[in-house]
Amino acid sequence: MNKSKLFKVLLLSIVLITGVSQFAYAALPSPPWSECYWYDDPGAATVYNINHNLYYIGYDARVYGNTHAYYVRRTMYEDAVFYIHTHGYTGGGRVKCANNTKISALMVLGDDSNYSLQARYGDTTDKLKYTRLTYWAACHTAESSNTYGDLDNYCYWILGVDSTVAFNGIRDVINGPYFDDRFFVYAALSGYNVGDALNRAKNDAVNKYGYAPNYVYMGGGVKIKPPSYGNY
Amino acid sequence: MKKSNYLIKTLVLILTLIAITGLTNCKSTAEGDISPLDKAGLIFTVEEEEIESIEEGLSIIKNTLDPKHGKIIYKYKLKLEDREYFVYGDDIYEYDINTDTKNIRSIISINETPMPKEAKEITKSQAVEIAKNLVKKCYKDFFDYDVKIKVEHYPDPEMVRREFRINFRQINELGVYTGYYIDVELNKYGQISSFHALEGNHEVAKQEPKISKEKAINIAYEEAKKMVNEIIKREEKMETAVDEKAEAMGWTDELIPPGDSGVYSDEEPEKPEKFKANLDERNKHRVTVELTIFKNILQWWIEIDNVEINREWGPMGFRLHIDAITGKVLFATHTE
Repeated sequence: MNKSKLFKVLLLSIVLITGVSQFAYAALPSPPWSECYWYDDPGAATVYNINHNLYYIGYDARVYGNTHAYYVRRTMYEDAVFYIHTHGYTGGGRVKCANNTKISALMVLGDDSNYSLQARYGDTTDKLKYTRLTYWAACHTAESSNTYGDLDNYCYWILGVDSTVAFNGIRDVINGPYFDDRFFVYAALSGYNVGDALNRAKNDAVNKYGYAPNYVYMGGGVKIKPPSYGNY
Repeated sequence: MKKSNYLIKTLVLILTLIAITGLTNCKSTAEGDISPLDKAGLIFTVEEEEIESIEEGLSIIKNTLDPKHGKIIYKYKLKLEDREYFVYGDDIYEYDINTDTKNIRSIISINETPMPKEAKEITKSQAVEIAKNLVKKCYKDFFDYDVKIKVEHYPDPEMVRREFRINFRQINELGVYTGYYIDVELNKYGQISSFHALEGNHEVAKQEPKISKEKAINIAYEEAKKMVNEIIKREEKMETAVDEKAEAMGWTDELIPPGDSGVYSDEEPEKPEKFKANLDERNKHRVTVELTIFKNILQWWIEIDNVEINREWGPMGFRLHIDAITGKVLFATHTE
């Protein structure tokens, strides 16, 4: 092979490699998305801190107020990190969004206001397999309802989310968001894994208020720093 | 020759473009000069005058716990409000030392503890014994007082590292919680997942409250009413609030598809009636009251639960911390 041909082959290889690598990444946003949601009731609380910390470590960090359940659910498949601070319901399985709409785990056919994860992602190939963390910051989100399902379990076991955080029983509007804020300090800024960041956040909440919310988690070894999408 | 020069130039140009693209993608995310870690109270720099105290903290951990999980090193200083802690770590745990009292504030497993050679699941009573022994090591005089012990057992995959939760709260002869509070979590083999301690004040716990329990409950109810008014205001704000995501994504003109019913409704959604919480019928509520020390203040901690509201997310609850000497409301919150 003469020099000229060699250069041509080299050039073509570079162009092809660059093109293919761009194509491979085109399926998912880069940098990875994090989406944080809040509502006037119960309030934004610490959500902007959380969002800023995710931004600081390199996520395409998005924060939205008062969003309808349909819109919250619509882009969840593109979220590497999903966080929602809102009201939860006794019995578990769903959280409140704007206009009295809700996101639930299981589909409830007779319910106009309910936008379930099952209906949107249950039959899709990719489900939520790219999501590293779903964080349900509301009361009762770890509980299981016969009608609405179980948010964290459904996300982890059925939709393929790498890790989940949810809460048993009640949280309150001050201690809960403080706990969340500290969790993201440790998980996002410091790079602790999910289980350890929760443990440290508990420590800080107890220190500040004398108690901590009753969290549960799955996928405790998962890290959200550096920013990346999840594994199936 | 000319042709190969041209190819080399093209190659260099392409490589330069790739390099520039790569560099612009690696944009700086820093905001200002203050690191968010500093703002969050995690201080990684060491002042010269702290070196001795750091060494002292290390000795305390070694002498108290005799840990055998590799070399323990100092990691960072944690600054939370008015308190500071030195954080140390070995291969398995992190240990926090209160810089004032020199006591162990927490032990947190940050790596999987290796499985014991003869892995044997423990019982609830064995869990309590293990936790008690740990408490005695860290706070020698803890059991000189009466201690209220609460044990929870969660044989659940979601709680794999925290199967047993044992909570210890010290009470003095007046029935006042002294503020010494310890929470221990163990896995099913009895290995420590976490140890969290709050330090109280035995002297302050001897104080006589100037605010009676009944008066404190009345203050709590008044404060709960104020919180209800705040919720009403927040809900009113929400009625006219912009859907920030729909706006940001340019979706505001789109018709929102129906929920799980799959049926588009012609009717305007009904406006919910004004938020109401039934705080008047106290006999329907579950009220718990305790007198405790927290942050060196004698406080009434009051929880009002099972309050009926006209929202699906109810019933709701309120929590109030009231200074038992002055009657000042120190902390007021409600469920979400």
